[in-house]
Order: sequence, then structure tokens, then C-alpha cells
Amino acid sequence: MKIKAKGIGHGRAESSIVVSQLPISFLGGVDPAKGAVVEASSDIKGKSFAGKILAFPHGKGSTVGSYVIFQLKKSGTAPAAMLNHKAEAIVATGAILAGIPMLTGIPVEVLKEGDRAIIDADEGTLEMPDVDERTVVTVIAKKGDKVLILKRSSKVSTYAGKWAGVSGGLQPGEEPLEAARREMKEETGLSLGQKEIAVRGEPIYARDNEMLWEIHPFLVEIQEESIALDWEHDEYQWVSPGEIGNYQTVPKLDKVIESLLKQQSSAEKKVC
Amino acid sequence: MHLTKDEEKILDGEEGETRRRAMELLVALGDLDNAERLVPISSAQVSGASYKTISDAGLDFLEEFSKDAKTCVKATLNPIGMDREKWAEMGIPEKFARAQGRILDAYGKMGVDLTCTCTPYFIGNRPGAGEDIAWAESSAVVFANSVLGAHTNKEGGPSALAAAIIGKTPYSGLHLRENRRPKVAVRVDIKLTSDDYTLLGHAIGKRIGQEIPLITGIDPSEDDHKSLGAAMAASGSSSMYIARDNHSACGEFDTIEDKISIDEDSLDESQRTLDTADGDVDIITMGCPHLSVKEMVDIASFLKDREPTRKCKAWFCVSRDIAKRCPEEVRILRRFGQVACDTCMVVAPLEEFSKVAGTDSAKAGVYLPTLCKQKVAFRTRRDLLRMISR
Repeated sequence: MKIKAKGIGHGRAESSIVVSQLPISFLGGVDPAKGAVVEASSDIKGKSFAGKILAFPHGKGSTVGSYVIFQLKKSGTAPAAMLNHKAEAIVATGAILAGIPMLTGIPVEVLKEGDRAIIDADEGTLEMPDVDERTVVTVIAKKGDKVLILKRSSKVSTYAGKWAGVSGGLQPGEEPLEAARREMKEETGLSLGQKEIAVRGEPIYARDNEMLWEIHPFLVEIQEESIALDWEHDEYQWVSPGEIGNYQTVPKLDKVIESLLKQQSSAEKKVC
Repeated sequence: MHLTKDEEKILDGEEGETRRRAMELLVALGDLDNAERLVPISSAQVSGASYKTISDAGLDFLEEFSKDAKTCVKATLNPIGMDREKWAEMGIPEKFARAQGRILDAYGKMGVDLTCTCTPYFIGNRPGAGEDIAWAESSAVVFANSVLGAHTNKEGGPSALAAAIIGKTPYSGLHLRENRRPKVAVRVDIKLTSDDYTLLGHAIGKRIGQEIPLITGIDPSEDDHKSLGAAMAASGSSSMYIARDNHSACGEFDTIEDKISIDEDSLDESQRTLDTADGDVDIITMGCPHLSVKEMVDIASFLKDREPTRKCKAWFCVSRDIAKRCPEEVRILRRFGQVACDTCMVVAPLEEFSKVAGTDSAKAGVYLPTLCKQKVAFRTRRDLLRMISR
């Protein structure tokens, strides 16, 4: 798989990933002599990142942290590259002072320790040769305050028996929006007009062993209550978003729904 | 970000590796901030000067960077960790002094003015209204935006240095007029003395976080502004405020939805938060931010006919320039303590010889416990002066 992100600084690096799901403070939180995180509350405390690709959500703490990153480089204990979900000035400054390639906009939560990765800061790409990527759409149909979930049949190849939104993979050359309309028609029998697409969300990533799902979420408002299922589903339910937790769902369905509804309500606020 | 042809050339390394790296830093930070372009600056003010705060990591970087870097606009430096002439007298370890000297040399080589102060606006780095600048010291940033009307974001040490080398900074944040409007209205309904402004800043900063407040009902002198802004930037992270002496100016106040009000209790609460000491004080400190000429004169006139008690050390922190302008005052103050130039109680290694520090600055009160491991006796300036004289 290969995903696009924003490059900071220059260069290319290939190594295995060390990932922390918590922000890192380089001043005080890192031992520059060892190239390891020493902060007591860290989830990778004691782990060396020297020569590895260090992934973490973002930096925190003192601005002197930038100089510590430079010092790591001089001591030969620096990470080969850094990946952030949302880079801030301390780490970005350090990466540039030290000449360490960096990417921001990376879904750090789907990375695993030991993942082999190739970073290119000039191209702005993260490549993980051992991980496959599947791009899918998931369409959440909404009517009033209920959303539509469907139970995947035993005939489907993935997540049989789990509850999901209207979903499916992209066909060759297909855009996510086209795929959303096609899947909606196939799986519910409903044709969507342009205006029924209420929200197109930012892609969400989910990791399942050596598979990375890039999920393009859509929210559509529909009037119809009864729909026509195809072979991919056995039953459907209209549920309120708070009830999703009671169902066995595909990964991240609750997150997808939550973020779409949030985007919809903030878009409505703006219009007012 | 859109770059001009000349900027592209620098980024491509046509003007050397150091300028390339400085440009790369400005572009990367500008991108993170969604800046559309760079804007020329008339001055820079660089932080990250004390060996205590930047340690060997910063020293290594500055020595390497200074090999071929030169600033191209007026650039002044933040306080360092000691008086460069009287460090031994201050109790600064020799190893510290040597490393600090190397940091100063590196900045000097790059063309940075070595008057080390957090009040550059007192020593000739005083931009006018509407000028774009790249300053790093948080109290000076607030003063520049709020009192001088210059435009600056709060830069980090390296980004301010890069801006000084390139002569430009990303055009984002407070450089844009539309981002300089107040978001919180702060109504002050009490009569303030000069001692109160630092508590007012502390109380406001704590409540507003990073927003720009419109503060109504205050009429601060320039020194009051200095205290207010420094404290506000220390307890919160706002880089600008707008002050009005009455509540009704242009109906501005009413147009802001988010309102807070500051009363005696708010200031008392700040006083209690800041005052953490009980028992004897090891050192009395004044001049955070660095003292102005007027403050030097006021302190000297109070102390002139008094005798030192010598119960504890005292530091009057001031820039070397201002000290030179006040020879008579310096002579009087020296009877009671040290006129500490180039440095201050926060960035000097105070923890080497003191456990309890007295201060009249809420900014110092915020940083002394964390940066210098001090308990703080928070007092008015008059009370501090009485503690060292009779």
C-alpha cells in the first residue's frame, strides 16, 4: 500500500516502524544518548527509535524539543524518519534542523510496531510493502434521526454476519462518489440524486492484520423507509446512532457515523 | 505556499546550505499554518539564548548554524543565563558560564545584537504600527502586537532566527488583519494600581487561553502594559489584547458574544495561586520583564535614603542598555543587591543557590516553580523593596 501525506523537509528513508499512540515531548521525554523515549507515561517507554521510523500523533512540551531532535541526529540516535498525524511547530522545526524526512497527515493509529515502511518526504508518500490496501466506500443512509445498518450475508467474502453501512470496494477507475451511488443502488435499490449526498467525509483508515482499509464515508438523507436488499445482506434495521454499540459491526462503523453526523451538524450551523 | 523566484532559488540551495535550511524551515512552518506566502519583516527578536533553557542541544545547533549564517534584518536576543560580566558574583558555575559564552559567540557571529533583553522595544528595536516582524519572546510579542501595533506571531527560537536570516516570515496568523479582532470581551470594574496589572494579566490569561481579548475599563501606562501582557502570555497563550479605558467604546464590547468580568476576587485568586512560599526568602527579584528607565528611577528614589538590611540577595534585572542610561540609579541599587544585566530570574540557574524567590511579576511567578524549582513569595514591588531595606 501507498498513501499520500504532506511532506516536511527532504529525503527518503526505509526502516521498520516504532509507534506511540501518545504525543511525545522531546525535551525531557527522550534520552538523546540512547535515542529512546523515557517519559514514564509513554506507551513506548524504554523503546529505542534510533534508525527506525518513529510514528506518533504530534509533539508536545517545550520548544527546546526542536534542538533535542537536532542533537539526536548529531549523536547518531535519531529516527530515520518521523510520521505525525498532525505535525506542530516543535517537531517540524526539529525535523528540518536535523534533516530528518517527515510526513504529516498519517493515520498513526493504524500503524503497528515492526511494519516495514518507505518514507519519501519530497513525494509526500508512505509506502508499506507488506500491507495491502483496499479502498472502499461506506454510505450511511439517514432518515430523521435514524440511520440504516445492514447485516452482511454469509455469501460475502469479508465480515459475514456483521452489521455495516451500505458499502463496497471501488471498481477499476471508479471514483468514490460513483462507487457510493452504485453500491446504494445495488444494495438498497435506491437511486440517489445529487442533492441527497449530505456529507462527504474525510477518508478513515482501519487496520485488519495485513490489510489496510481506506474508507470513504458518505452521509445521504433519504425519504424511503423500506428498501430492497440484494444477496449481500440478510436484514436491515433503522437505528439511532447511540444504539450502534449494541450491534456486532464492521470495524469503526460507530466512528464513521459519529464523524459524519458531526460534520453534518457543523455544516448546518454555518448555513444559519 | 506561493514562493517568488528569488525565494525558490534560496530553497534550491543556490545561496548556500544554511540559507536553504532557514528557508525550508519558514516554508514548512508556513505550510502548517496555511500561509499563502512569505512577508518581509523589519526586525526579528530571537529566543533560545540561555544555556539553561537550550542546553547542549541548542549550543550544538547554534555553533553549526553560525558557521555561515548571517542575519539580514535587525535582530535582537532574549536574556541569557547570566550577567556576562558579573556571572561569578551571581553564583553562576564556571562550566555554565563557558557554555553560555559560546552561545553568545554563535549569535554574535550571525550578526544578532547581543544586548540580551526581553524588552527589545526599550533598546532601539521598536517597530511601528502595521510593521511585520518575527519576534519570539512571548511578553515582547504581546507588547509589539498590543501596544506598538506591529504584527507578529509568537515565533520559536529557530523560526525567529530563520526569519532574521531570510528577512521574511510566513504571512499567517496575526500578520493578517482579519485575525487581529478580539474574540472575548473582558470587563474590568475595579480601580487598578500599577501593582495590579500583572495580576490582571494572569487572571485574564488563565480565562481566555489563546484568544484575543478586548479589555475595557483600564488605562495602563507603558510599564503597566508591559506587566499585563507578560503575565497574560504566561498564564495563557494569547499573543495580543486590545485595551480601552471605557466600556462603551464604539459599542465594540456588545458585539462580542463571549464575555467575562474581572473583579477583586479574580485578582485575589491569582495572588493566592502565585504566592506559594511560607518562610524566609533567599532572593528578591525584580524586572520581569526587564526594568524600564522609569522603573529604575522609581526604585532608586524609594531606596535612596534607606539602608540595606542584607537579609537576602536581591536582583534588579535590566538590559545593559537601560543600566547604562541610569548610572546614578545603578549606583543606588547596587547598595541593596545586584543590578543583573543580560539575564533574569527565570532563565538564570537560580536553583543553584536559592529555594524561595520573591517577585512582583506574575510571569516570573508562573515560571519560577517549574524552571527554577522555587517557591514563590508574590509581593508588591514596594513590599519587596521593604524586605531589603529599612
